Amino acid sequence: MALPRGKVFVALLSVATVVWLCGLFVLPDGHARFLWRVSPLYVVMLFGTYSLACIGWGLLTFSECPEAAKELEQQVKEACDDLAKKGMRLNLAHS
Amino acid sequence: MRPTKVVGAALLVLSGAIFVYYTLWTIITPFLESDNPIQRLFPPREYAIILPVFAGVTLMGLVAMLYGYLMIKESFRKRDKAKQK
Repeated sequence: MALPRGKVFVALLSVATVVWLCGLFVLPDGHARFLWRVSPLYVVMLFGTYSLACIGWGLLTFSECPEAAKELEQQVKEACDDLAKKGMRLNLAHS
Repeated sequence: MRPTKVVGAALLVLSGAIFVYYTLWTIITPFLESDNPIQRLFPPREYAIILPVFAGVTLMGLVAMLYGYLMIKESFRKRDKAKQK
């Protein structure tokens, strides 16, 4: 029986929010308090930068091979012609 | 180099730069003495909280305004359509 992921996420988020708010009331002024206040924004920044980097990396390493695409197209055409000669009528509707 | 690769590399560099700058700003500067020369590179630390929050609130506000505008436009369209019948 798997727990529903959406509800688990919301539950954890609420707990984290409550803990963070309590920390705001408890910590005295100083380095610790500043770091505590910044921590949610820092986490959001980490997530955002990681997503951006993943997208950038994917774009960078995406290798197109136009020769292979043409070759594949040619092979598909040959197969269709071959089958048509043998009597099968094919509907080349796919892209 | 193809444009997709350029954009990809630019995104990588940008995300890396943001990560390094924000980490230095929020985690390293509190522990440097106030007359350390590195501190001159960074604005006062309160802005590390103000700027992202302001940007986030502005973004969500724009999204909400756009959504509201589209809803109102849709409701007017429906009303005019019903009037025509």
